[in-house]
Amino acid sequence: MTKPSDASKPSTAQKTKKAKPWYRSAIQIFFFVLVALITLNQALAAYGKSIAFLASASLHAICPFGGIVSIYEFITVGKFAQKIHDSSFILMFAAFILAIGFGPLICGWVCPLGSFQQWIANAGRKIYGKKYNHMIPAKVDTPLRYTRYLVLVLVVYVTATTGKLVFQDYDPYFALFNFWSTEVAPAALIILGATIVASAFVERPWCKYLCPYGAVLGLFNLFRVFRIRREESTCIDCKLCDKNCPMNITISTATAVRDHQCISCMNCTSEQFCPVVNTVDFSTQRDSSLTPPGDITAKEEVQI
Amino acid sequence: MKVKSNVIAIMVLVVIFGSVAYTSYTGQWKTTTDKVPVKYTEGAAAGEYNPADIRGSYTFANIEAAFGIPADELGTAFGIKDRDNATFQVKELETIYAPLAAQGKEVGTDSVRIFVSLYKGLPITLTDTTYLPKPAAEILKTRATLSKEQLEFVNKHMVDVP
Repeated sequence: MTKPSDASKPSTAQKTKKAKPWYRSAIQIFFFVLVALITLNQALAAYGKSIAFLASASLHAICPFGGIVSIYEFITVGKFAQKIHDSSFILMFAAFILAIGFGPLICGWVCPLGSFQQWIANAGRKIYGKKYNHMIPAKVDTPLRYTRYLVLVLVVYVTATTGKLVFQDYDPYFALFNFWSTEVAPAALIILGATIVASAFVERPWCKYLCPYGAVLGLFNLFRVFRIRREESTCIDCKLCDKNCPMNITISTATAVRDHQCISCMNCTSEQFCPVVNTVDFSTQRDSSLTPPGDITAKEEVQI
Repeated sequence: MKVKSNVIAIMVLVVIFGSVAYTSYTGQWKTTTDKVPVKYTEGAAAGEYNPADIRGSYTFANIEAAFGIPADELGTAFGIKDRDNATFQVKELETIYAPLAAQGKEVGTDSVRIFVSLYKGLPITLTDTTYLPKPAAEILKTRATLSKEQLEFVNKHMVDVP
C-alpha cells in the first residue's frame, strides 16, 4: 500500500474545528420522549384518560424487534406472537430499509435504551476519563461481542415454539419504560439495573454484548450502501476516531468500516470528532479526487 | 456520494413516520389485534375458532362474539364482581387470583382457554398448573359434555373465588 507523503497531510490550518451537529442528539431525545409519552398514554388509558394527539399503543406495538420474533409464527400460523401487532411488522421493515442504506440507525439514533446508556456514559466518561470504555481486555471483550447472536437465536426459538413474548421478562427496554408496572418481571428489572451500572464503565453494554435486535441490524453492516470510510491521504493518525467510537471499533487503520458492531452514530466522522475535513465520512465509496494515484485499490477494511 | 448527519436525521424521520403515515392511509397500521382467534386447520374441529388462541387482551365480549358464550356467564364462571362483564379483560384474572399463584395454582388466560374449549367441546391440552374457579367448574358439569378424563381434571382443579 502506498503511504502518502507528509507533504500531502493537512497542515494545522487545514484542520477545522467547528461546532458539532446536534441533529443526532435531537433525534435521540425526540424518540426517547415520544416512547415515554406513548407508554404513559397507554397507562392513562386504563383510567379512561389520554394525551391529546398521541397514539395509545403498547410498547410492544411500536417495537420493531417484535416483528422479527413473530416472523416464524406469521409464516406458519398467519398470526403474530402474543402482544405483537401489524405495527411491529411495519416498523421492522422501516428499520430494514434504513439499515440497508445506512446501517443500524435504529441503534445509534432512535433506540431509547441505547440513548439512555449513552447519557449514562457521559457521566462515566467524566469520572474515569480516558479509561472509560477501555476497561475490558480485548481477549475477553471480542468473544463477548458475539453473545448477542446467541441471545437472538434463543429469543427467536423460544418465541417461535411458545408463541409467547418470553423475552419481555428479561427485556431492559420494556423495564425502562414500565418499571412502575406489575407487568415487569424481576429479572428484567435486574438486567436493567445491571445495564445502568455497567454503563458507568462501558459504553452501551447492552448493545455490545446482549441486544438481540442489535445483532440483527449489525448484520446489515456487511452490505449496507453508505458506510464509514476513511481517506488515508489526509488522515493525520490522531486516532480521535478510535477514541470516540462508543463501540470501540478501530477506524484509524481502515479504509471502510464493516464491523458488525457499528451503530452509525457518526462520532468518528469529520463532522464530529475527526479534526480534518473530508477524511472520515459517511459515503457510498471513496472520493477518488482525494485518493492518491496508485492507492485506489487499497482496501484494508475492518471486518467482523 | 457522501451524506451528512442532517440528511441522516431527515431520513430517519421520513422513513419511520412515512411508513406509519402510508400504512395508516392504507389501513395496515394497527397497534392492536382484531381479537379474533385463529381457526383449527385440521381434525373434527377444522374451521372452528381455536380457544387456545385466546389472548390476555381479549374481553369477555370478544369471547362471546367468537364462541357464543355470553359475557355474563363468563363473568359468573370466573367470579367477576362489581365490573362490567363485557369489558372485562382476560388478563385481569391474574390480579384477582394472584394469591393462588403463590401456591402453584394459576387462574388466568389458560383457565379461560380451557373453560371455553370444554364448554364448546373443542380440543385443548389440559395443563396441570391451570385451575378453574368453582362456579366455572359447576357450569361445565351442568352444561358441557365432559369425558371421564375431563371431568376428573375439572374436579381436581377447582379453587374458591377469592
